[in-house]
Amino acid sequence: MFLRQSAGRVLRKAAEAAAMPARVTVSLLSPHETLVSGEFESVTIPGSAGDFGVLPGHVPVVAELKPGIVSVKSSEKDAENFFVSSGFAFVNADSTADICALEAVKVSELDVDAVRKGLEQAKADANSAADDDAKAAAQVALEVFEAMDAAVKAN
Amino acid sequence: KVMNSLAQRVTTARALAASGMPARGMAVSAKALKIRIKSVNSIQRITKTMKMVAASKLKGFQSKMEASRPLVGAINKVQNKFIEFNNAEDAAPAATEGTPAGELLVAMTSDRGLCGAVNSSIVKAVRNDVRENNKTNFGIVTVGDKGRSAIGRLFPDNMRLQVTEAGKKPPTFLQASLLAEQINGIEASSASMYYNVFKSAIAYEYEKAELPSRALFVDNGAKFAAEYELEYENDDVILADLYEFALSAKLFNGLLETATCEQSARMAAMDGASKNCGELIGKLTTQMNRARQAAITTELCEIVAGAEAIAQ
Repeated sequence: MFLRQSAGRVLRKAAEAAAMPARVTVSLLSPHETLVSGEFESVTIPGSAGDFGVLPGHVPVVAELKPGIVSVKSSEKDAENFFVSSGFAFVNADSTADICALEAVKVSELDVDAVRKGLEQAKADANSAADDDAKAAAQVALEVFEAMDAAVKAN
Repeated sequence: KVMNSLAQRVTTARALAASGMPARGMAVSAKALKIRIKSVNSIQRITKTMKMVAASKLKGFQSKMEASRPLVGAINKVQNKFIEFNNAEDAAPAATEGTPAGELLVAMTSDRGLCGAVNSSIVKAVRNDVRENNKTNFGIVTVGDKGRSAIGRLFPDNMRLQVTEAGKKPPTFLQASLLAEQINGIEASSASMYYNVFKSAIAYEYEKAELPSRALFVDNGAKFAAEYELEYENDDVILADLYEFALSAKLFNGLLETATCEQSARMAAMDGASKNCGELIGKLTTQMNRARQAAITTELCEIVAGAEAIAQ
């Protein structure tokens, strides 16, 4: 009887340990490609309410994204940065994170000159916008380009 | 225009070859058959080209569609959670005020024809769904000219929106979002999408998928928030935004699958047409040779008979 009790305890402990995986399974998806699919130590996500980091065992979250950087870390020093325009991130109870972005690109692939030009154009459009629709569109463009500019400068 | 004359020529050539004899009862001349063979040959060249074009387009469409599947899968996972909550026994009651707005049927078809049964299967499905369930309060959205003309003839008073040129190039998420915006503007209590799902280059399957409604997400928001923390900037906006994103993703997937199925079906149809042309050419060639040999035999007989007559 003693043997059976301790065996039960060992099995239960093993089950608990297996419940929380060591790494987060991250998928960074856009409508036309899968940019990231693998296990990482952590991932930082630009939520519209603020940036947040996801480690294994993170509480389930659905976050709307704002233009910013998704950073996947395979170790403290080894980080890959991607710029995302917007979308949603789903962190599930089993330590998987699905980041569905409308547009996503490696920060290293952003063209600095094109970003600067786009930013200036967006500023001009925002100032000269005639009606509410145009103003809203220009505002969105401005947000995206400002975030891109910050991402490129930080790289 | 090329399509119509092509279809007509194939039908005419087939009918003529089947009848064998011309209307007047004269022997079919080798020359007439030669002209017919030339015509069927040119048709075969066209169908072979169309098959190659469809095959190369299929490659591009298929790779785009497969690349979109992970994102669509992730969104479907979330949408299924909402559907699960909605179908549960203690689901929040739907807010119904006044007369229900009716349902929306979105039919995904192609603009151009000569693509096998892709469009007829969708039109039939819509027609059967309406007739078998005696639906009266419904609106129809057609993507593709083939659907517009066929369904427009069946239910002319229910047409709400017609979309064209969706399958020319691989649909983008932006296009799907624009379509979602338009569909969102139509008052409806529920919506379903009728489309063909791509299984392989030679197989596709018809499917009817439920399109998310705003109510599905908003009404079940409380239950969802119990399982997932919602991080958002403005209250309640996140559920509406999530709904719009999910609708766009579902339409995006539908558009891509439809376009891919169109190309694969056209490739198969043109392959069949080329084979048929080949068989027809074979039959006509045999007939032509027989006619030619008969003419030679007749001439020989005349010469021999003439020679005999002179020899007498």
